[in-house]
Amino acid sequence: MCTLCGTAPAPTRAPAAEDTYVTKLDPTGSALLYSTFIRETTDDFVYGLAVDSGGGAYVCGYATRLLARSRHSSVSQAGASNGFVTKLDASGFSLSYSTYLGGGTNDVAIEMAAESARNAYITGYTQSADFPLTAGAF
Amino acid sequence: MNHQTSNEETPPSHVSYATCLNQGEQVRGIAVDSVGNVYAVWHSTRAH
Repeated sequence: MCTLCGTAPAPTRAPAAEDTYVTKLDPTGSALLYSTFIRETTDDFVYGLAVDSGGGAYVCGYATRLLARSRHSSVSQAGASNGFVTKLDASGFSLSYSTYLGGGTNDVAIEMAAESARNAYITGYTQSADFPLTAGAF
Repeated sequence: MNHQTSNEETPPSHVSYATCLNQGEQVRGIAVDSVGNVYAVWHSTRAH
């Protein structure tokens, strides 16, 4: 049970000593609509947050180890640090998706935005020569 | 509140609200949706 908002925390495990939380406040700032942990962060760092028009919340950052208990699909990941993007649904209690993004070395997702069509845009940096690129990229 | 002003920008006239979530923890990002709900992602060093 979340001691902040009195609701059941979401995803897949009990909170650890260090965690990343996402909290949603109402427009007055007086009520917690949800507050939930998304991942253990002892070796990770979260940098960015975005919200789409449907209320889905996205966070990005990097992970230095892969999380077996999180629902991650893998766009690409293999390096010492791996960029990731995690999306919570509008309720805050379900992972819509969570994915790594990177190549064979170090990748960091720093900031992101989401559009009305719910596409996510991520910016960051990479040291991976095999970072996944689309055809015709610079 | 300290304001840095220029000829092109009007500073805010008031604070709608200010709140803290948990003492000593780090907010890493913030976003607002179309109806004014506020989202924060933050790092906790304590189990809850």
